[in-house]
Amino acid sequence: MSKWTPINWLKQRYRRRWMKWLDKRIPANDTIFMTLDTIFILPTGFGWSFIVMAFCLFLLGTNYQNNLMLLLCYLMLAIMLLALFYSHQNFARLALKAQRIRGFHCHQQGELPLQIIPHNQHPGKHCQGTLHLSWLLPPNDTASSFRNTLHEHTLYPAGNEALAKIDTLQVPIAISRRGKHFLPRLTIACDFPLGLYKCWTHLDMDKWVMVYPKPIEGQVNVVKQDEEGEQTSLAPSKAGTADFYALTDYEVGQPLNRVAWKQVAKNGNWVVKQFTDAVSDKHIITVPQSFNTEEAVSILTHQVIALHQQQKTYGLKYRDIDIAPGLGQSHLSLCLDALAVVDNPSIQASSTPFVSTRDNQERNTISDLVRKKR
Amino acid sequence: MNDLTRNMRIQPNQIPMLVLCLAYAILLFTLTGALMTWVLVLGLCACTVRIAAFKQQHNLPKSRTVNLLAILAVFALAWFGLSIGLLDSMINLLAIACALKLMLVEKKRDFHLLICTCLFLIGCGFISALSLLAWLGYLGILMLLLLATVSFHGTNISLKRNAKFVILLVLQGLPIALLLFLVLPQLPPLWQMPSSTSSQTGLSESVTPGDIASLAKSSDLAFTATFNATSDVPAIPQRYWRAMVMEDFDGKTWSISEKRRLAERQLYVMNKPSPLLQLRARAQDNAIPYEIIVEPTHQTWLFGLEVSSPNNAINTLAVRSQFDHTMRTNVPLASKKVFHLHYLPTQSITNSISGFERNLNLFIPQDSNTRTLAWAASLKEQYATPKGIADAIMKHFANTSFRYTLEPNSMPTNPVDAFLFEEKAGFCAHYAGAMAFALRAADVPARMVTGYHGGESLNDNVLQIRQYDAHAWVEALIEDRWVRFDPTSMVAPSRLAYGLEQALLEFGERRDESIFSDLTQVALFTQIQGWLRQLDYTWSKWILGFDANTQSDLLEKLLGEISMQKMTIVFLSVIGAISVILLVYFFPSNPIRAFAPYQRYYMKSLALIEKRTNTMRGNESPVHFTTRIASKLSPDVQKIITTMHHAYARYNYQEIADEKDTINIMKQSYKSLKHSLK
Repeated sequence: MSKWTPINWLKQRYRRRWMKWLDKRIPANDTIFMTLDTIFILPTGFGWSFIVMAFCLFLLGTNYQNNLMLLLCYLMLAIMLLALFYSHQNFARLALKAQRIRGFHCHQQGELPLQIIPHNQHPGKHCQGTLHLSWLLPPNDTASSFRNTLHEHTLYPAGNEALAKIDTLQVPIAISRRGKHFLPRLTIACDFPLGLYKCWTHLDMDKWVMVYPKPIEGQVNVVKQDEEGEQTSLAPSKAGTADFYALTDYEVGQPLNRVAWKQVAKNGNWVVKQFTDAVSDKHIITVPQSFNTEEAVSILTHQVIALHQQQKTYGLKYRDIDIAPGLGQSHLSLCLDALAVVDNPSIQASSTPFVSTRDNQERNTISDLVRKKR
Repeated sequence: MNDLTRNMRIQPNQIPMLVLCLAYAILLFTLTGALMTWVLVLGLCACTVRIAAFKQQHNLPKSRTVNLLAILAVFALAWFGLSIGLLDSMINLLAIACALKLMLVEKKRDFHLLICTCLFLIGCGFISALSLLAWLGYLGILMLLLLATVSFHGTNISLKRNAKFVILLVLQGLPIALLLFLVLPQLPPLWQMPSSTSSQTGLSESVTPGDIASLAKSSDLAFTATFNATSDVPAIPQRYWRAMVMEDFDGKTWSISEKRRLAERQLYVMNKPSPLLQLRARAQDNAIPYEIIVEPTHQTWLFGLEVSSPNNAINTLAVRSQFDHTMRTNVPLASKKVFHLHYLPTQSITNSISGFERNLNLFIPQDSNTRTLAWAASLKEQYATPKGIADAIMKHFANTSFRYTLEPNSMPTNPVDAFLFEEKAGFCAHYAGAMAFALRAADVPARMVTGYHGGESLNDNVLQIRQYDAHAWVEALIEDRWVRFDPTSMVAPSRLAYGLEQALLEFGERRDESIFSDLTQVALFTQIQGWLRQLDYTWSKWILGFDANTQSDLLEKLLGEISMQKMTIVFLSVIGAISVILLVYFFPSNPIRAFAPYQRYYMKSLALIEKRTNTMRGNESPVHFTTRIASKLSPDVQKIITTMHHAYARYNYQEIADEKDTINIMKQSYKSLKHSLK
């Protein structure tokens, strides 16, 4: 956070009020249809120079008493006026739906998939031109782990309805700190058709993203859990050939080479062959308390991923995390999520780190209200 | 060949640049009058370099090269700038800046800068080109610039689509622009602008016999005079349009006297009432109001029928009346301009600065043209009165075999002697110059007057005067009045009665020696030319001549007496009118329009069934509705509507059909439904 100065204080105060105003004006929602309320529009630099040029022509025309120059000047003003409406009309046709964000590790870059959907008030028409996307972050805010990335996306031109229907924007997200981050407002701007005006909006897509720790290789304690619940420490597990043990129900994410295809063919039940190694070794991984927290979660993350890839059954125990052994994609997500938020409860990576009133609860109620209104 | 087309293929992101280059190149050609040749070449080279770089980006010159070029260009411009004047230098500078930037376009900003500069260059083009055709041409260039901008911002949209959008935009913008043009106040010039020396046209301020003949080659319009009624138009012999009075003769050249200029300035400063205004006061009811639309001459003098006084009460540009009964404006005429004048047929030109004018017009260089001096001395002995001397000279012209020609031999030394006694061939400036000299030599104050004579009727009450109507005649001071003598009328009476063309024809000459001169005789050609002239006149009168007066006249006609309150209402109503125009453009007039075509056909079909069966659908789903009223429908109709239900569901809900097919099915079904429900 920058040093406290009256100017900074005023800036922050202003920003807080502005954010509150934005929250009221453009409520959070994962599906947004542009309306009069959500669009801001102002001339661009080119627009202003166009106006200045028209004024120069007016001066020239008046001084030379030349009506043709005046007519040209007025025509330019008329075009400026029409461009205002065309720009707004174009941007008002934009409608977006935010889709599920996949979690990512903090050294990676995530993506927010935004699907272009047909607008409910302008069916059959859609926005054209190039969209400029950026995250609305407070300026020089070092505390925010959110790195701003600029992104451009050119929409399909009219007449290509089929392509436009499946058009999806991939907005890059770059967050360098693990944890649960609420996405800040996304600024979408467009200067179609003449570049004289810039239409923009600040959207809160009502989404959060889980940023997992960066996986680092390292030594962990693997506690082997017997059927009786007795625990014995082991060295890091190693993969071994195993004997067939039993059939269990198939779970999404399990490797296909373990599916008992004969059973599937026979009665349509998807079952997976379990081998003695995988079953008997119900590992619970943990690290000593003495480790630095960040290091610990990184090592555990790496281990969890490694075990998942080896199709091992594993559990997790660290600090207040205590996850029973399990298998599959959802189990992996559970473990990674838990590791991501160790000592680090939901961080608002939003542009208002100072607003503490807007917690998760409130967010839900606001968006619920909005949904009810619809 | 195939290979060639592939090589020439232009990427979509290069289209804006190509269109911009095209617009810039056309713009350069329209500005050839003001641009220096090397600037033109530089501009075209820049366009070529830019287009050539489409194939290989690295062909573009480095920014260091361009900077070096810029320094060179600035030095060259500074060198030539002194000779071409401030205004032309500015236009050249803009064109150079554009050319250099064109080679360096990298960012969006550069592109926008180029568009803005080109827009300003269009404005500069209007300084010299004022015709309807020029306006349309520049409108075309403006559209090209807009097309470049639109293509730049929507790179993946086809050029045809963008072109359609630009045409629509300009067509929608024109009514708004016109409305603004009619209502926004027409201000007087805020400050004096430099005028272009290269575009000065018309009569010059000195006459060395030969000058007016060069004007005779030009058939450009000089000015248009509009009278209120046909009866107000003077007869052809009376159509003498005075412009300048030449009172200084150095043996070869007649020019406006420096002493006269000084005197005029002094009298103006002393605020003496000018004689023209006194004449106007004396004329009372015998004043005929008329207006002239003057083509831009970039000079200050005006022309009026002999004698005319300016009607400054309604002139937007004040006209100064001079003591030699000519009229001047305060600023050079850079654009077509309307002036209101009063023709005073009953008044004659008086000697307004008695002794000064007399002495000024008696001066002759003593050592030249000695034969004429001797001849004048003999005339003076022979005739007692100045009138007698003048008549004798006129008679001399009529009775001796003088010839009227536009191409006389040059008379470098003692031109008056050579003309009067050897060549005996020349045109108006020769005759007028010789007569004025002879009169002065005979102690009769005389001067040469230049202007125009004649005029073609465009309408019953409109006269058009062209450059070939330029004329010169003599004024002699007889009994303290300046009396007009036109020696040309003695030699070639048809010059005054029928115009220059006819006069030349009688002497076996032609004004315009070109293959097109025969064309002008063809009736159809004359007809078309007539229409074009009429169009040009209307354009001049209503668009170019539109000024603060016309504006207030128009408003007064609409609203009666103008008051502050009414003006407020006018401005508010204009804002209202523009809002209505915008509403018409952008408000979806028909809600069904907002739907996709296939939905439109579907809804239309359902509405048709509702109407024919006289049942209301309400909130019912289309499928339910049609099954409910199935009994009222023929099997044909049922079959068609079922097809439509299916097509709709397949495209809209199951998303398995192609849009074009769906539209086709819907369209066909709607047509057959309409047919079977008849």
